[in-house]
Amino acid sequence: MSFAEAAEQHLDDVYGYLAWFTGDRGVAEELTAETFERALRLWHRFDPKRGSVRTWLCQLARTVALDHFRSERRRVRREQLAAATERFDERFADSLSPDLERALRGLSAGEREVVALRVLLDLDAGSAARVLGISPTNCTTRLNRALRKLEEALHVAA
Amino acid sequence: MSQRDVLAELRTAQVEAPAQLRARVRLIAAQAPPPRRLTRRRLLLAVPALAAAAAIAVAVVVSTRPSGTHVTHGSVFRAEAQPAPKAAASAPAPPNGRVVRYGASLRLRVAGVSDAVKRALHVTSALGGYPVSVHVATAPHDRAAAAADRTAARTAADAGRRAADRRSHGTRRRAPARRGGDTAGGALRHRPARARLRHAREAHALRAGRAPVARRLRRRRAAAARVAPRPAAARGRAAQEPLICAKTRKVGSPTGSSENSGLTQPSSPPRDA
Repeated sequence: MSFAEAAEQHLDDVYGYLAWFTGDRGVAEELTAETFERALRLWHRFDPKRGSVRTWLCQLARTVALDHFRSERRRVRREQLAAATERFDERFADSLSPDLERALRGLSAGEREVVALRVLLDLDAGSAARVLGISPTNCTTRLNRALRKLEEALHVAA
Repeated sequence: MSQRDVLAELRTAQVEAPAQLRARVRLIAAQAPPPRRLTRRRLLLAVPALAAAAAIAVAVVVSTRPSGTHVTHGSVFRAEAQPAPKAAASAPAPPNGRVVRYGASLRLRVAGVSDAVKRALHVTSALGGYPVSVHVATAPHDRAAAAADRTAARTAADAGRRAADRRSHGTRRRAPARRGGDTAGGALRHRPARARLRHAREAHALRAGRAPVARRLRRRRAAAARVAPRPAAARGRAAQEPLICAKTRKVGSPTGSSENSGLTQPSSPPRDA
């Protein structure tokens, strides 16, 4: 698989993951472009035996997103803005109900991240854990906690 | 709404990248270089280069590996009269393809103090070595030691002549000479001991008042006083034997406690100018 084919095939996945992780589609677009630029530079280091292209691109995207949050002096303010529910004036997805959108805004960035990887991108526990840099058990625990929060939020809304 | 319903609704969500971002990523992907493949032509170029590098590496390893045997050339040269370049040429030639560690020691006995010591140091450095120690002893000039000095001069002159005879044969190893018995070295070592013993007995007899011995000793000292001063060459030869020159200073004052009493060597005799 060439890099152009990989980029064409997994662009939506990377963008969706970053959009759910950052909660900002504009920032997600910038970070997606930066992710593929870095992937182009590091494409020779990609080893298919160690994981799929999608997993590798999601790892790069997460690194790029964390670097974005850490790089500037406004890191703390950006993280706070990213975590603030008032910041989300856009929809995560067009097909989601308003209650679920509101419940998703109530999650933290880490919880939205694991939901995006496991549910939106449909990665298995091992791949998602490799992207997040945690153990598969921890990844599953984090997903269950996020789903429980969403369930409680929807129950309160109903 | 249960978790299963939440999951089902979340799975219906589809996030698509905007067309602007897609075009931008395509532009980035277009900059990717074509994938490298190991073609037969590249293989033909790479295999000889790798083989040459491996051969060079093996040659370097084999040539620098020590053989494990330790060859020692323990010859001791007697290089008194040997010129420096000739002495350097006598070093054994190293065998090819092997690392050989050489260890050699050289002992030089020379006549004359300053020039000879310089020459010995020059020979040592020409052989690629360095001086470990330098021993220098000279003869005193006092008159009390005149009789013994004559003996020393004669002894040293004999030793010098024998040494000069040996010098004419060139460089010689020391070990066979030791096995065969070095007569010159034996004279230098043993004759002073006999002279010291004779002088000690005479001094003891003089103090004890034995007339014949005292008269003989007085005649000998008078004869020694009439002897002309030693030539420079004799003094120079006497300087090579430190025992003779040093121990005659104690002849006149033995303690009498034993036969060899008072014959101890002075700590540091004056250096011969």
